[in-house]
Amino acid sequence: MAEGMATDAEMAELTVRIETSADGDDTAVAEVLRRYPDDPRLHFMLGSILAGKGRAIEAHQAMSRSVELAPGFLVARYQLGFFELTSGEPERALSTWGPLLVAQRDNYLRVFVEGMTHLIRDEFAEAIERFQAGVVLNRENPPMNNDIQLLIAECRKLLERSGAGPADEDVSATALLLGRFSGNRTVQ
Amino acid sequence: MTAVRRSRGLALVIDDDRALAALWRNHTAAPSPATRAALFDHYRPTARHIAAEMRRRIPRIGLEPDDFDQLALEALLQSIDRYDPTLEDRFAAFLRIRIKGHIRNAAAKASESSAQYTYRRRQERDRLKSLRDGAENQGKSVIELLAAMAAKIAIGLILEDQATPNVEDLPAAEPSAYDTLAWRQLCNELDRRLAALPDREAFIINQHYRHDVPFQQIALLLGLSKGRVSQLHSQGLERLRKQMARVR
Repeated sequence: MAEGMATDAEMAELTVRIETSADGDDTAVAEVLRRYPDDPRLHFMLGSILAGKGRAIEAHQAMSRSVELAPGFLVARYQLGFFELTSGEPERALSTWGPLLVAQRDNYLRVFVEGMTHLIRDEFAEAIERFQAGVVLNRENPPMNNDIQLLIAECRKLLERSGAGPADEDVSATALLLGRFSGNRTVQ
Repeated sequence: MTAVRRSRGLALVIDDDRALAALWRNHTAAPSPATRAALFDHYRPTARHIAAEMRRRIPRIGLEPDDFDQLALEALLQSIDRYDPTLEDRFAAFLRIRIKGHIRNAAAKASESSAQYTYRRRQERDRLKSLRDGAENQGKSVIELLAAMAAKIAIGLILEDQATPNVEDLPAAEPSAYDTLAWRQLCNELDRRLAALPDREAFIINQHYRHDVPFQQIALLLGLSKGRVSQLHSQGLERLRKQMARVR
């Protein structure tokens, strides 16, 4: 374990404390953070808890610090970008996600980000295709797949509502893609 | 300067509370006319609502109804720069306290001074001064100058007429000359031209006529002098007048 980083045992203990507390225990993380102020995992953990509590400004600060300390911490970078997107800051999100777009082509986070860039531009068929591809690649973070599946379902609704015209091509493309990925579908 | 347009895809994922927190985050990190204007736009209805409550509750000695709005907007501007979003719980509660204090102070002062200009009179004086100072008078007769100024006042009145009304000010549902197709087309055309004006001119005209924000407050929002705002106002209306003159 690198110097200045919490040990595996400390992280495990912290995780248990958080999971057993009613609404996420940010004081427990803050306590460990005082001992390891440069541990990006702790900042990320704190950011996630604060986001869940609706303390958005502090959550963003903690997540940003995490990425600042560890630019290669890709999950934190993805989540920070997503937090910014949900805050109505697409340009900032794209800039945060930038380094993810040079990750390996089969990195599921990169593929999700590609989907998000299509989503921002209302390119729903392309977004669905990228999201579906990311879901197939993602084996390490199942809850993230569930969120993406919800997003896919919403994209489909918008695609259906967009009606005739240029959207026709999108619908055809989607039908094709849904056929291709039918074995992995969890959303009806 | 104008609000960020949300694509349908973006609207799927946006969380309004987070988006508001982002406005505060950006303003706290690097306050600028744009971040201030975004917050001002967001809380303007809240400020007006509080002003309306105050108008009903306290005696109007020395204050005109419009003064309440004006004072609430002043308090809003001051509050935006004094609020710490990480320490305070809710801005709306903070704002309410500040507006109440500001209106009570003004009421106390106004009751001592019967010669005070009302908000509406100040607003009209500012507009006229702006148009007079900005008039292009080279080679024009007095009548032509007056016609141009009248056209700009008329454009202002149309824009003001399109502003979202207070519920209590809503007219009866009978059709009027204002409901004719030609009138609606004129309004739509004006809307289109207004949106195509340079950013600052569009912002000033929009805030002033559609949201009744005085030049003084717009100047604070944009970090400009009141004189410069007045100049841009006149410039914008002149541009609209020239463009609308071509509409048949």
